[in-house]
Amino acid sequence: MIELRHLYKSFGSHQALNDLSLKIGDHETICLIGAMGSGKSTLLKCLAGLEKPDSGDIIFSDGQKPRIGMIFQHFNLFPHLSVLHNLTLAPMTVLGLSAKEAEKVAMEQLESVGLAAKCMLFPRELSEGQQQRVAIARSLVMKPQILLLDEPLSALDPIAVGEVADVLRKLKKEMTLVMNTHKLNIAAELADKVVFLEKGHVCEEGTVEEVLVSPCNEATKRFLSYMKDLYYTIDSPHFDRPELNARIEQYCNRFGLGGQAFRFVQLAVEEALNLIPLEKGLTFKLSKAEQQVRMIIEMTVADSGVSYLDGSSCRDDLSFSILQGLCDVLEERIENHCRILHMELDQERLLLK
Amino acid sequence: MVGVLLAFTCFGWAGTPDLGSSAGSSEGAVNSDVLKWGHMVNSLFSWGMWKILFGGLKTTVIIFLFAAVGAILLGAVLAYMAISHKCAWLFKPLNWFVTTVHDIPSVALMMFFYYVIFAGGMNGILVSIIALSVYTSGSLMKIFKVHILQVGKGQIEAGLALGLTKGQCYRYIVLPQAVKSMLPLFVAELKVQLRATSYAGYIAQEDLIKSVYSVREHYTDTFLPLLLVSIMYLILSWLIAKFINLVYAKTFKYD
Repeated sequence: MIELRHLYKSFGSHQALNDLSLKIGDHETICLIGAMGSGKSTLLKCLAGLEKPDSGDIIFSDGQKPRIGMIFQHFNLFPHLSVLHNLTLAPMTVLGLSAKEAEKVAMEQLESVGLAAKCMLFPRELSEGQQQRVAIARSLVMKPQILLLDEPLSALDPIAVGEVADVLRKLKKEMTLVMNTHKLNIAAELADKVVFLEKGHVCEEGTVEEVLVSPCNEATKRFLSYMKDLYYTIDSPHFDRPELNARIEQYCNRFGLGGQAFRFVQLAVEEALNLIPLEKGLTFKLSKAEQQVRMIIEMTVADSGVSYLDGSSCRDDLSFSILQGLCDVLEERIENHCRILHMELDQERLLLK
Repeated sequence: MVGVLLAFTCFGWAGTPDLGSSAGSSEGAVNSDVLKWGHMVNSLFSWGMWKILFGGLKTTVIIFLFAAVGAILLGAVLAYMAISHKCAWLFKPLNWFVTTVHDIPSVALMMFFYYVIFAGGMNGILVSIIALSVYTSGSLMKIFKVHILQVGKGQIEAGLALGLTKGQCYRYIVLPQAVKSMLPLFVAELKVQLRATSYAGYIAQEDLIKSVYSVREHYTDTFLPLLLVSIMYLILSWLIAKFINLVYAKTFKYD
């Protein structure tokens, strides 16, 4: 077992770890979740010995540092070496194995991740999923007791995520895994314990049920909602429209709403943006109603006392009429000095062929 | 290049003006009489001429080799300081100095070292070596630094996470990639340095170029020694590239 006690680590003015304490049990799979910059990667690097905490202790139960392996988001394979040489380098230089012995161990591990046939290729000749599997095999040749995974799935396409997740399922039975991920479904499937970090501090930890399904902490709830819904900040009339459209499409696709559905959502957003002056900026939120085919769009702007939906003073009559036709709910409300434009597109519209 | 020189030999050699001769003077007329094939062939078999040329070659090679080693060592130390951010107080002035002197023509730098800094009190070969080492180290430092930093930090982290020491990470991961990509620039820089050794003549050193003048005075016209010296420079350049590639293949190449 490893115990982290009151770890602090800062990079310049950024406090990456702030009084972080955590226990990692043997053969436990821990998933770290949290926003960017919440200290997840720094925590893993401190565990791997790549960063030294400013203060605090990392205590190993039997007093001896276990063998720790680490997997990175961008694989970090050695591009000048073949797959096989990537795997034999550490056993030969660190463990002092002969080339023959190292190759034997390497081939066993490549076999276990399904890549023995690719041993003579170079990393650039492999797909991303295969590269990540080689990186895992490269760590496994050093027989780690703990494997740290820093966003192992983030740089991968959906098929590659499946390939790597399959390997992780197998590893979960054999060793302690500490994984930092944004893929909540993978975390829910693999984790024995989920740890939510915010500003370098453990906010909430517990089982998948406790943290991902019914969190107590407000910050955790906010983060999960942020992960579930699409948020986008528009700060000027010259914002990146194609990017927003692409995100809307991607979000709708997550719920199987392809075809016309996302185009209606994009159209509704575009028309609504014609009603609101964008100079002062606005926050856009797209969410899907629970267990219904219904998309909810909310645009929050600082209130200037002017209604955007008042037919007589409307900025753009045509956009207003199109919105009325598209949405089955179209209303505005005022909350905390902010005017919120609320639109809902129902299943009749979204599932229209 | 050799082809061009040979073509020049066949068609244009007789028209080559003699270095230092004044056009239209009676001396020029005498020289043109001397420019005969037979005389050139005789000169080729004259041991005295070769002795002078080999003397020049020896000086050029000594200056080049020691200056190259000096520049590589100084460049490597500076690159290490730049990458590791160690000894910033020393690195800053040194970096300023080598970068500034690189903007001065190397011949001016060499003369400055010989006549001003050492005031003629030091051996010219040693001064040439020091001046050229300093002159080349600035650009070598930049070549080393850029190509080493080009290998991502992530790869070093991966190496450390596998249990390699920092030194092993550099030896087996960073340097093989950095050296491979810097090789053409590095060789080109050494060739520039080889050519710059020809300025040693300005501080009274009998290098290859200076030996051309000596041969001309004692044996033949300018053309023959100039041709031979050019071929020697070409061979030296070729040897430098061969040697560096051989060292790379023996040290870092895996595949």
